[in-house]
Amino acid sequence: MFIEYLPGETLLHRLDVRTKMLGFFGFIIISFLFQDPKYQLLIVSLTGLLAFWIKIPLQKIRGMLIPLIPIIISIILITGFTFAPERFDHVSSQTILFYALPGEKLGATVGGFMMGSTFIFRLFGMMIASSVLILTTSMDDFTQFFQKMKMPVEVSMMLTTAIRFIPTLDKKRRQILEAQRARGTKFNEKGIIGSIRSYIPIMVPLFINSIMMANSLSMAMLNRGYGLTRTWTSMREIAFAPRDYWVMSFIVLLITLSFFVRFRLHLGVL
Amino acid sequence: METLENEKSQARAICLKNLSYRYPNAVEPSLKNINLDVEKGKFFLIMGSTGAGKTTLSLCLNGLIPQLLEGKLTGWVSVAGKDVGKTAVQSLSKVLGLVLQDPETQIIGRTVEEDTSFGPRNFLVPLEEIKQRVNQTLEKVRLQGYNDRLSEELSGGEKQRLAIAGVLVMEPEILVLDEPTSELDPVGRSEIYATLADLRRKKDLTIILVEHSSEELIYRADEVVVLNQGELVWRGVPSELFRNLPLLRQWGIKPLPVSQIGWDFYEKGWITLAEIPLDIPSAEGLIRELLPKYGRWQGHLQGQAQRQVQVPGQGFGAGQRKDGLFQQELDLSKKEIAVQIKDLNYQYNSDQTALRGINLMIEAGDFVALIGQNGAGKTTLAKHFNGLLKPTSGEVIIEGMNTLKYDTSDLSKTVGYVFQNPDHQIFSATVEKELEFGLKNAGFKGEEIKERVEQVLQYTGLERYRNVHPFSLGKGERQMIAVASILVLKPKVLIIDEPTTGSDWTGVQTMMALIRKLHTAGTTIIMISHDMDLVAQYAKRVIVLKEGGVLLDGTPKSVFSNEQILIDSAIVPPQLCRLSFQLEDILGREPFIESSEFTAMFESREQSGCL
Amino acid sequence: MKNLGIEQQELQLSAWNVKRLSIMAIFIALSAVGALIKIPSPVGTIGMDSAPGFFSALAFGGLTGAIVIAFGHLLTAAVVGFPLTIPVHLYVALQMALWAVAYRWVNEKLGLIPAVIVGIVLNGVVSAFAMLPMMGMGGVLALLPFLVVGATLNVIISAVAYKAIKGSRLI
Ligand SMILES: Nc1ncnc2c1ncn2[C@@H]1O[C@H](COP(=O)(O)OP(=O)(O)OP(=O)(O)O)[C@@H](O)[C@H]1O
Ligand SMILES: Nc1ncnc2c1ncn2[C@@H]1O[C@H](COP(=O)(O)OP(=O)(O)OP(=O)(O)O)[C@@H](O)[C@H]1O
Ligand SMILES: [Mg+2]
Ligand SMILES: [Mg+2]
Repeated sequence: MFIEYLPGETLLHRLDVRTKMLGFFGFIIISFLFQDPKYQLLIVSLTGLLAFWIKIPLQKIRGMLIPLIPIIISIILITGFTFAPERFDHVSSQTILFYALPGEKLGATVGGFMMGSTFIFRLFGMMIASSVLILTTSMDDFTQFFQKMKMPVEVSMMLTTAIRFIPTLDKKRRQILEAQRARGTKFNEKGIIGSIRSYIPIMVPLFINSIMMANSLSMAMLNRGYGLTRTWTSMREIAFAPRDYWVMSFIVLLITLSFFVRFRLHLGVL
Repeated sequence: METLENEKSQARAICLKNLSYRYPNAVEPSLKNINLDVEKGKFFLIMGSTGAGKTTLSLCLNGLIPQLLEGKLTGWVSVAGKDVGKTAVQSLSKVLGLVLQDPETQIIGRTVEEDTSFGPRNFLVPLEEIKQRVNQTLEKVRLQGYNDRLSEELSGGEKQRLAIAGVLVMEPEILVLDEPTSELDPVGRSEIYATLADLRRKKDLTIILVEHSSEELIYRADEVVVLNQGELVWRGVPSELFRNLPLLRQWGIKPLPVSQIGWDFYEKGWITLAEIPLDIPSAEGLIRELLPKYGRWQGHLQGQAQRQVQVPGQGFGAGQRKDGLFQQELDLSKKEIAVQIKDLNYQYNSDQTALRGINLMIEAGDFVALIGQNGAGKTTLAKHFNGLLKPTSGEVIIEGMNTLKYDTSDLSKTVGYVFQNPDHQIFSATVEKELEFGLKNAGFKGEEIKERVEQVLQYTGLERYRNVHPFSLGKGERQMIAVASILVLKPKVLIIDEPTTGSDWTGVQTMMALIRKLHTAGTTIIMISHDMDLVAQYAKRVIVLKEGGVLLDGTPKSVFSNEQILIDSAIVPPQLCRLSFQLEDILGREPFIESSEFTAMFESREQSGCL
Repeated sequence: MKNLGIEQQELQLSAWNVKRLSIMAIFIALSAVGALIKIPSPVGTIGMDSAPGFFSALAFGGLTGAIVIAFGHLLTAAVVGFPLTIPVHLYVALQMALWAVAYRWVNEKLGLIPAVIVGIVLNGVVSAFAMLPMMGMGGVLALLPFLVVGATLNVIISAVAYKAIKGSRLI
């Protein structure tokens, strides 16, 4: 499968999808409250613990991180140089480390680099939290969630069908790639024009096959009564268990606490 | 007037009156003035060549035409008393279930249970009842216990049966199936037919089945309807149609091999039309009856009979000598080896061993057929020949090139690979450009490209479509384009993966004639096929794969004589081979594979003076 | 005749709507699969994730294209765990939807080549600057080359594919 569900029996797996969604949004709010990388580090570590708990596959994390490295480096560097000292509350953050250009131009501030680190930690935290959510929640649960959120049935049908067909289309992609390689297509041509020329033979059949697939899919759906009514029989009702109420109270408490720390104690800013 | 019609149609499952239909952007109508009544509980077979309008007709039956596909529809269709033109497709699906050609896109759910319950859920059937119906239906199509399996991971035959379950679960009175078995191995095919027979017996279902092949269906179907270029040209009992060979030929339907023998007898005036055999027992009986009368081998030794056939017109001794000579020639030609495989093992990432310990040698200029059940590893093996897959261990050497050291794009000049589905490779706006693509990849320039394209266009008979968009042609023509686009590269070795699935008999003949022509010109052919009649008729060597290993390897005759081993690995030998097993006491151990071999037994009766 | 009228009333989605829905579903899935096609370029590997959306805009209409490209983007992002955070991805999805509509509109009014240029400018340059509030100038400058090259490949391929398929009876 493409979006994997990691089967398991942990508390996170058994929680209601709505509880998990609340937790996820709580996480986003908290993470955007704090600018200080130390606080972000704490948040990342806590989410890391969750990930550890559900035994997240390590190479998955690595696979997600590597493509982001260039962006990470440039965010740190450019943020370091472009955040003007006036934008920071704390004096320590306004300190200028050195200037990139002679004549005291383009100064690198301590706060700038710290802000850069915050961006990065926030990114990590998000990635881990999203993975935890996706890996512990089955597709059915998400569909139920869409329905409970009063999303139109067409949208949730469209999304579930899309997800169902990802593996099928991926198989098509591989078959097309093989068929064109067997005709001697090379994929290492240089430049943008070269790239376009070598990927057209892949993309055009992919579009054509998708159109044909969509045609027969619509026939199959009509053949089986889809669209006769606006609702359909639910296979399984999701329901809150006591544990969900406990966890939700905990999440709300955590969010309140964070607001208190941030706005009353003025901690976690730069 | 209309009420009268309605009342009359109550007793009928399907009633078509003067039905004509033209697709929105087509010039010619695809259905012309069709009239047809189908009574409740009957099993109808719809046959006809490619493009005859079979799929179009089945789409008219449940209202997809004209509700989904526009175009010009005239006439009147009623199904189980409902006027199709005025009832929504979705409501009709409760009375008529349509199973389309490609199972892949009909499976909507992620798991087997989710998919099967899709239909009833749309009709708001209560959950408890759905569960019950799903289990019942899965049992009917022999998928019980599969509820939580991912639909993506099912085999071809299982997917096909799931697609049937998906419409059956809505408890329709009529089931229409459009070529439900085209990609299955013979055993998978029989299973589907057996499932249909079961359903019919238990539920009194009306069944309409569109099929190209017919051997097992003749006695199952009540009636056959033949379409030809959009017209209904024939209707009647199957046995009558299949005895009339000239008609079959005219409409591009494959005749049964045994009836070919019978036709020969009929032409000689030995039997009546009604006596033409349609199955093995009756053919056996007929031959046993006629042989003493007209055959010339009565009283001859078995061994003699065999050799006589291999070298017709030669005496006993001469035949033997010729055999020996042929052997020597083989030894000489062994020097040129096209494919050499040593201890090949292959494992897909998902730790599933697809090939194990394969050792093979294929001579240049040979015609090899790879057969085996679905999932035996045929495609996996073939993909090693042009380096699409690299051995996990062992090595593959093609025309002196080790595939480990060459890229597929380099090997493509020597090894041509025609995939099963032509739509995976066609991307150009005209047929001509499609053919040029491979040549440009191989680095050819201007004149040379023109010349080769010209040559192949003529060779394959695609000339008249030169400037046409490939996707405005039929599937058979697209298959030909895919072959042509490989032929322009003039490969020394040509691999063809199931070149004839879904083609009609005429298409199969054209394709095979082309392949034979290439073979005669010296190309090494490796063909993967589920059609045992073709394999027996064309291949010089047959390799049977089972569970990733080579099970049998030899000439068609020697391979097909191991009936039991073949049946254990889901292969049914060609009909004529099975017939010759029945006649083993007369013909000896080596089976006949062509109808001419049987008729040859009777040919020179005047000479032998048996009369 | 009478009960036929009732059946028509019950019906919620016409055949045509179901077709639209399945086209959208398949092309959304194709966007996620397109992200797996990795084209090497000087600024990193580029995925084919927005080409299906742009193609749908040309082939099936602006609204279809907008929905495909927006949901396609969200699905692709979801698969890798929303690397730029969910709110940012929602914002990007909305932009992409607008670009798809604009692409279709220019194609209708001025032709395919102007549409391609507009598509590249919107999806490459404008999109990069739209990230200013989120990532600062640093983020924008880091993204700009990547987005421009990505937009160029995706938009041009969608246009060429549209031209190649238009002549058949598929669309
Ligand atoms: N969407 C379409 N637009 C225009 N013409 C079409 C379309 N689909 C089919 N046709 C044409 O209608 C005719 C009948 O096609 P149909 O698919 O019904 O044939 P068939 O008997 O099912 O053939 P096969 O055995 O190949 O499945 C053919 O000539 C075909 O070219
Ligand atoms: N890409 C793949 N990844 C994992 N397993 C695969 C893959 N392709 C094939 N297999 C498995 O390898 C085995 C051999 O498959 P293969 O496609 O070679 O069979 P085949 O003999 O060509 O069957 P068919 O007659 O259905 O075409 C099967 O068990 C199949 O499930
Ligand atoms: Mg058909
Ligand atoms: Mg195969």
